[in-house]
Parts: sequence; C-alpha cells; structure tokens
Amino acid sequence: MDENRRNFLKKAGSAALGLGCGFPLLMAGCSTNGHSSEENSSSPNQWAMVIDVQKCKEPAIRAACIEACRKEHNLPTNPPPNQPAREVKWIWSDKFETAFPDQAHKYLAENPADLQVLLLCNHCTEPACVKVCPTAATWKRKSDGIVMMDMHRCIGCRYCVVACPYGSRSFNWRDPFPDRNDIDKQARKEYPTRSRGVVEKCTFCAERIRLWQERVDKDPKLLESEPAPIPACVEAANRVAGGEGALRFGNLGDSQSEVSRVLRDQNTICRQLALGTGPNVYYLV
Amino acid sequence: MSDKPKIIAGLAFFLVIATFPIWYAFGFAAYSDAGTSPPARTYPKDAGRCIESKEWMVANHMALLNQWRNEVVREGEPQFYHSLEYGTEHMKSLTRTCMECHGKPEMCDADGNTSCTQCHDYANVTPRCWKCHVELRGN
Repeated sequence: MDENRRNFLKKAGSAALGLGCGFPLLMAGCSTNGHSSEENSSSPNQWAMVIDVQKCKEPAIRAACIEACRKEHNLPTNPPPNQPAREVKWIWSDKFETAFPDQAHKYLAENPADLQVLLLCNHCTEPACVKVCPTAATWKRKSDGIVMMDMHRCIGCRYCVVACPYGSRSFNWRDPFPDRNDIDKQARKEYPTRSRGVVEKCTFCAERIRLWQERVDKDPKLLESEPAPIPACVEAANRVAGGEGALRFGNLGDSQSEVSRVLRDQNTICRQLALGTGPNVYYLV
Repeated sequence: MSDKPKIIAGLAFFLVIATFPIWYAFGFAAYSDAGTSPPARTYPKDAGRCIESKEWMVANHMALLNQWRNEVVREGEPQFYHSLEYGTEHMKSLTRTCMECHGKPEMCDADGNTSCTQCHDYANVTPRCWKCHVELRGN
C-alpha cells in the first residue's frame, strides 16, 4: 500500500511536470506558426526614406521640406503662441541630441545640441501606435508598409500620441481652419483639412503613392523615368540648390531601389532602435 | 388644498415646455416659407450628367460615398468606379469627381451654396463631409 502510494505520487508529479513544461512549449509553437503564416501572407514591400544629415544642415533645405509638406497637406500655419506642444507637424526639425539621445556622445564631431535633423513618422515595422489604437483608425498597410491614418474613424483618445516614441503624432486641439467660408482660398482643395479632436501624422504622401501606382499600372514603361513616387518633402529638397538627394525615398522590398542601394553602400542609423519598433526612416550621419 | 393653483400653473408650464418641439414645428414654422419647398434643380451648362441616373443618385449617393471612402482610405482598392448605368469610369473622389461638377458656379445659388448644401438644408441633414473636405464657394 505504501509503495503504491509512493508510485502514484511519483507518476502524478512527473505528469504535472510534463504538463507544466509541455503546454507553454506547445503554445509558443502554435503562436510562432500563426505569426509566420501571417507574415508570409503580407507583401514584402515597405516604403522607406533615407535622410542625409550633412546635406540637411542647410536650413533652407529643411525649411523647404517642412513648408512643402505644410502646403501639400493643409497643415495650419499659425501654431498657438506659447503652446509649442499643440503645434501640428508631420515633418519637423529638432536637435540631434533630442532625436538620437543614445547617440549624442560628447566626442561627436559636431555639437549634438547645434546639429539639426529632419524628423518624421518612421512608419515602423512594429508600430506602437497601431497596437494601442482602439478603433483601428491607424493601421499598418499590408500592401506597402505605410502606417496609415483614417480621420473618419479617429475618436481623439490620443493613446497613439502617448505610444509613439518618436513624437510623430499631433493632436488637433482646435479647429485648424475655423472659418470655412473661404476655405478654398486657405487650403488646397485636393487634400482635406482636419476637424478638431483628431490625431494626424505623416503618411509618406500616400495620395502621391496612389497616383503614381495608377500611372505605373496603366503604363509600366513609366517605371524607367519614375522608379518610385516622390513625396512632397523629397521633391522640395531636390529643388533647393545643394539639396539633391538630401532625402531619398524608395521600396526596401526591391533590392534595386535607390534606398536599398544607399543602405547597402553606406552606414546609416535609426532612431531608438532598442525599442524594437523597427523604424523605416534611416539617417546618413 | 391651498397649493392647487400653483400646482396647476406648474403642470401647465411643464406641458408647454415638454411639447415645445411639436407646437414650434407646426405652429411657428408654418408662418415662414423657408424650408418648405425643395430647392430648384440646377443642371450643368455643358449638359453633362451625373455618374449614375438621377433617381439612383438621390437614393444612394450617401452609401456610395461611404463605400468609396472605405475602399480608397482603408482597403487600397482601385481608384476608379465603373458606373452601373453608363459603364463609364470615374475617380472615387468627393472633391475631384463630385465637386468638379456640383461645385460649378451655375450649380450654386446666389449665396454660393452648392446644390448639395441646398438640398441638405431642405432635408434638414448635416453631413460632416465639409468639416474637413474643402468646399468650393463663390468661384
């Protein structure tokens, strides 16, 4: 009887141990399978940008990019005085030490407090903003990796503003265009403005990408002269003398694209890599 | 029982307030002519037509616009809509397709209100499209 009980306890113990170790392994296996199949089904395309920090030291280039974006997307011109945090910005300029706090060591060739860099949404591979959005108003577009924004669905909860480690998202604290009587004179009619209480951010000029895609679909020969869509900021930088190639845009999924080539040939850095968000804006320092 | 007049007066006051929407709509509004007749239909000068038949558009334009919005903004569907009635191709865009025509000066009234606004005012609906999409006025 004693021996039986002893044997029973032994068997029960090893069974419990087996269950305890086996289940987590089983679960991990299942979730890995699910994850990989999901990733396989998504397209490998990912739009990305390479920013040349040296070329962007020229204030005229940075200003041209910011202004072009503001005009293109109807951003309000007059940020409220003394409330810089309420400014609506898609692409902006800030100190190197703010943008790359973990890279701003004291032997850097340039003073990290003086060096200005262009910043914008990183269109992360694992976007934190998308994970927290309760209404799916912001999501990672499978076809080309852009982190999109749907103003129709945004409820203005601002979880994404808190989640984004890059400060890329702006909340509309007020109506950006309160007087809508002559709105067609204040704003570009091809792009909507925003209402009070929605969050907005850079979309890599998704509307330009769409038009480019349509042109290319109709006439594939265009790919030779126009291998990639040109966002408004890239176009503006290229127009300024000395600004050619300061910003480059292309598909990371295409190994022959300009962006892939630059990333292969030169060393680049990214913002806050350690956070694991997988940013897709790269900086040539 | 001395509070009877006060109670009756209070009840009467309550009734007047509670039924305000009813007597306001049937009483006062009858004196004014505004909003009682549908706005005059306007047509583009180049004798153009809408992307679908008139009756279909009147009944379905809101559903069509919602469908376009979802397809273009969220699903990345093709940018062009094939007309069910005429088989023609149109860009799925409120500003670039609808307003190209509905925003023309001959389609607006003297105050520069588009035909959309006139009809929505008559039907007492306030769509939120124009809170963001740029409405053309007085051009």
